[in-house]
Amino acid sequence: MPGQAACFRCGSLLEAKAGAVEVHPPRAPGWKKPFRWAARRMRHLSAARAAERLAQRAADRTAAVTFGRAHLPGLPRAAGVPYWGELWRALRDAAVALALSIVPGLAHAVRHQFGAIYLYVISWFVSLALGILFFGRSLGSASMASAFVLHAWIAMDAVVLTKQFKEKMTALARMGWRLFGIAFGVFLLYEATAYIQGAIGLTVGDAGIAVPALRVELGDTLLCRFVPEDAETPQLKRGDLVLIHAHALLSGDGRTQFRGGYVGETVGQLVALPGDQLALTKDGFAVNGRALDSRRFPVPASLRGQTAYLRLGNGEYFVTMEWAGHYEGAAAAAQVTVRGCVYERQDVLARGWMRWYPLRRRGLLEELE
Amino acid sequence: MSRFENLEFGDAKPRPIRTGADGTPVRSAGYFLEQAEKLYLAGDFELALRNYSRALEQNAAEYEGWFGQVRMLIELGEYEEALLWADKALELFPEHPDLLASKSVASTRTGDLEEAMAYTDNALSQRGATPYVWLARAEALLKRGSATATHCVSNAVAAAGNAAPRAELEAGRTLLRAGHCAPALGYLRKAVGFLPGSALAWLELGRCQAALGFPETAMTLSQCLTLRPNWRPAQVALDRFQRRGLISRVQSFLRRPRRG
Repeated sequence: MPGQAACFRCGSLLEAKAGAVEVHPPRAPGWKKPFRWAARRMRHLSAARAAERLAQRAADRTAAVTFGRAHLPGLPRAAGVPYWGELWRALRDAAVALALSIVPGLAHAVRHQFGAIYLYVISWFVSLALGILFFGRSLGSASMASAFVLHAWIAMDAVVLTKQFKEKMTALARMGWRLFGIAFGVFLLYEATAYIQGAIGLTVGDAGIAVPALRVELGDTLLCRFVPEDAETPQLKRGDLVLIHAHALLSGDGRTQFRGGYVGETVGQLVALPGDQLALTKDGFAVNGRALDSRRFPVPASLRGQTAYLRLGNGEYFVTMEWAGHYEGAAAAAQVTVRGCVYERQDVLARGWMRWYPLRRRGLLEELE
Repeated sequence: MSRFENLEFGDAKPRPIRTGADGTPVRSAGYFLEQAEKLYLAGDFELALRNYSRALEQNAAEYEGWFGQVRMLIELGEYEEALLWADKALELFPEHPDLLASKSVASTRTGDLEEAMAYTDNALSQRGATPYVWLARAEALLKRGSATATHCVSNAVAAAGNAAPRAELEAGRTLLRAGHCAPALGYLRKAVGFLPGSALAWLELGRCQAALGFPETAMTLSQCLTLRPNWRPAQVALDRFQRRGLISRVQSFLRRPRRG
């Protein structure tokens, strides 16, 4: 090729004089780079790409089936005859993946696939944290629900990523399994959470009375611990905030009737215990002859100005709260409200443990006595 | 200059740099190519690109200059420009496998995987697949999540011959970019052993070790900063490693290779 500027076979440049061709490449302006980066990211994340990937997987699957590579190598199988070993392995792998996924992401981590799921795990953590932080509120319920869905998604992802599922199922079938698994998983998690909540013994209730000494205001949400009825040691103390079954008060014939009907659960303050002698005067409550501090044992508005003496029987508790009209028969209203504060042991459900909401006042409740 | 020195016969040999009467090197195309290579290994892609351009100013028939320019544009993240410039280079060197492979790499990075696969298919169908061609194939396959990508990386190193250290560096970078830290670590360690003066090799090794949460990361990145003081990517990587939180520590632990 002496004397030629280009290869006679491929046309490659062999010799060129300087300046004969432009040798300085075009450059991207600096301001364009972030936009291009963002556009690339969007492209990667777009639904079109996801659909393309699904189509590619489906095509791969079709090719595998067509060319007879759908089965694991080394496994003899006659056409049309189910191979129970494969089914057993698929079920075993799926069960292991599900069991490990009780801790979200653990199944992926064991198989070194955590990178594919870590964003879901982080989202699960965040949802769970929000769910716990706002337990008892609608935001908390929504966060907990999303944590359930994410947990179920992660678990089903671990199942469909198992070797058997990946090799034997089409993308569509895996998606179907995934959706079914998520629905079933959410149901199981919901049930499990209800069981765990019952086992831990926590619930929430809204305060029906303001107690300045405990920094509790009317309507605050309190976190309460269930108090089992058969507890041998006395768990209820004077001054405790307790969650009770609130009933409507009836006074049909002028005689006080306490159990009119269940109207909900409210948190009130335990002022007197079984056997106590309670006196209500204009200065406040006195129990067994000892006057109680009105800041620690406030008198509800419905009882103010009344004078009453009461001796509590066995199994009777005096719980104060602001009545919101849960009584009938205006003539006997005064007596009803005094007598209406007496509850039996089975009506006391739980004992207040923490100021839960609003967040700025969140903290443990102190014992007044 | 002999016209035959531009023909390629597989193994890359170091290009002799001519010197003048006073001992200073003559600023020929070879000199600029040598400088560009050094700057690339130091991680200064912008200056390396300029040197490739200067080499082409001296001799526009230098294939290495064109290919180097395209590679540097890719390293600088200017993929559209890299594709454009690879097309221009392909007018001068039609069907050259390295240029086709560089188009594949640029397409992979922009997310056009179908085009990328088509370019690598074309590059591999040409005679004499170079390490770069195999690595371009590996990058496209890694992006698709194919398990055969590691074979392509092995082929790249095997095809490198005398240029194995450089190929190992590139192999490690390709694997690291795809998030395959554990296999990348072996290649990068070898690359650092062969190219101890390359700040780029130290940086990539440091990044790989940081991703795996190895405590020697700080030492590796400090070594990189010794070779190239105040280099921002190394400083950022070191700073990020030293301030990593619990989640990244757990992540790094999970990425580590396991025995058995």
